[in-house]
Amino acid sequence: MRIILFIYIVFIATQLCAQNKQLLYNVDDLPQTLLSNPGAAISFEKHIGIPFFSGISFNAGSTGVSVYDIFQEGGDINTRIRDAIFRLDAKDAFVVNQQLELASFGWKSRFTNNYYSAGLYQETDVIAYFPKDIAVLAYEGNANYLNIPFQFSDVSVAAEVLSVYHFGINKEISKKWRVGARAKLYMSIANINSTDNEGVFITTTTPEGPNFLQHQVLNASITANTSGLRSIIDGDAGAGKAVGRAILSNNLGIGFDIGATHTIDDHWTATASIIDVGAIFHTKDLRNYRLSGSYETSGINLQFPDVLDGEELTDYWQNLEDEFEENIPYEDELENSYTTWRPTKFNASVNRGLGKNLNGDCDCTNSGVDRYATNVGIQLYGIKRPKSFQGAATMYIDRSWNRFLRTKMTYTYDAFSKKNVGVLISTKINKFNVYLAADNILDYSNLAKAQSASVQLGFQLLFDPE
Amino acid sequence: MKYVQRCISVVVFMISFLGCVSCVSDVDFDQTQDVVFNQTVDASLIFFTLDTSDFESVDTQEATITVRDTTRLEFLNDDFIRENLREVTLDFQVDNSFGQSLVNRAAFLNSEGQEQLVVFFEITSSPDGSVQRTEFTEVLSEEDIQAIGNSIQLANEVILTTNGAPINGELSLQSKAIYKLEFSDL
Repeated sequence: MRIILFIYIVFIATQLCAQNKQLLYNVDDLPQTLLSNPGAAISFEKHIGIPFFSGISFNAGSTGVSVYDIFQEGGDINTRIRDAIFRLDAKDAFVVNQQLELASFGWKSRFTNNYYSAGLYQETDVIAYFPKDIAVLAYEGNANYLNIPFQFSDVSVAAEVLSVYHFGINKEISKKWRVGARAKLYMSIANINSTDNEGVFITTTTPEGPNFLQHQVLNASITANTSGLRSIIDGDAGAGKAVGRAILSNNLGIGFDIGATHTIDDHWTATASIIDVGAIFHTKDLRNYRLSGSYETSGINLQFPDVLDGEELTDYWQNLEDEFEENIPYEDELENSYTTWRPTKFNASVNRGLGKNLNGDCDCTNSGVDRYATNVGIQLYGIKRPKSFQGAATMYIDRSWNRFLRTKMTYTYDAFSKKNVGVLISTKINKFNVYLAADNILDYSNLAKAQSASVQLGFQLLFDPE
Repeated sequence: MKYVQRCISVVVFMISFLGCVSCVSDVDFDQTQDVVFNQTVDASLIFFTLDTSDFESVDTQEATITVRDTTRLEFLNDDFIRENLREVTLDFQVDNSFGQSLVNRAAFLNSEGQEQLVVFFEITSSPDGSVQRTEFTEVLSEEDIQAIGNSIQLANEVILTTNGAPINGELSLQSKAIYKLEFSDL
């Protein structure tokens, strides 16, 4: 228990921020913008990603504490751990997201002017909420918490490794509107899901007897569903099988993204998108673990049998164990199918173009769309998580310095950080594009103090209109 | 090819820059050795009710009558508990309406049935059949805790000393243990 608690503290303390790719959103000369808004305005007419290198991203975050909060030099680490446990609540979470584009390409149709994009990426997504009540129980025991329930619902963990095949269409339907949609086929490689737990453990004082205290587990329903792990745990599958599942998995899912860009006037545009509306149906290589039921005990009720009259001694301890197991059975051989919903994300932005129109007064190759060297705006982001909706607001300034260099600087406010400044640098020499984006750069001087950070980079070929 | 090299150079420069400016400092991970968790667990122990019939069934011609029952308490000699147990407090409460002199004797036994620790206390007798409450707390010494760590059973006896008067009444005992545990060496 103490090791689990310690790992949780370290996890919480080492979190970096989740999934929000604010630096790539609305960057119209990067194909990755289509993954956060399939209806984004884009400035290229073909792209080919360098396999395995076109999109590499890692981000993670903690809404609670940093490594520094726990492991800073000097002082008493036990006081800091205690402070952290009591400062965090059950909505504080540890989040990690990693993506790797294995293939990425797109082209503009000569006949319809639609932009088609497709590819395959691998993703890892983990969220673990801080199990506040269980942590307090493990850290302090129940003595100071008589008559206070410890909620099992605080235990909430979801982790998924999957690959995603996708195909999207980006279409300008009028001079004011550009819309897009992307179909997704999810291949789950491995999944752990324990998010809908219920029940309480409580120790109550019982002045009316029969004993000082009564210990109760009430309406417990704790379930952990896994897929893709049983064969690995049993040794029936190795790395080769995991790679095979990334290409074609038995645990399939479907989903879609939609998005749009609205040109309000010559200088103002607005965008919105919904990403990863979908579910994965886990039907193979399953293993479910379940603990459910209710039980209460006041201790061992001695009966003082009349041994002299031939009554047998009662095995109270065995009875206690048997009653517990009978009332709260632990099942670890279940193979029930289950469904997990993808963490749906929402994006929206308002953009103001400043300075020179890069497309000139009339750009007939791009339907007359205005494109400015400098853009400023506000982006909103949200993601639906098992317990809550996590949101972020970003202000940005985006500048194309010349044909070769573009930068974007962001300030993001979210539950992970109040001083998140990020920078994107994208260079393009001839058709070869490289970009690197990192946020929370103010904390790079000492990452131990960072509660969130993310890095994205990629290499690809981009083909501009003739 | 020259362009590719130039682009890669730019990225290598950017990554190197991030690598150079980023660091983890002012932290000391060796402090994990100092991490200590202190847990206080309040747990029910035994409880029972005895009445006249429990004492009638034994030989009442003796000067003292002893009723006894035993239960295993397997967690006591668990290695994890034994290594981390720092303090144990035993709380007893008895409501008694017997008029005779009574003693409660709780003996912690090892697997061979040998007594490792005995906790006993006198129960207030009732002069007039009314319920008399006795409260008793025993804080175990370090030596006692070691003894408890070798135990696996609890044998509880109620010893009644006859006084010629009829044995009449009821006795209810409640008990709990408060365990203070300290976990270190993570």
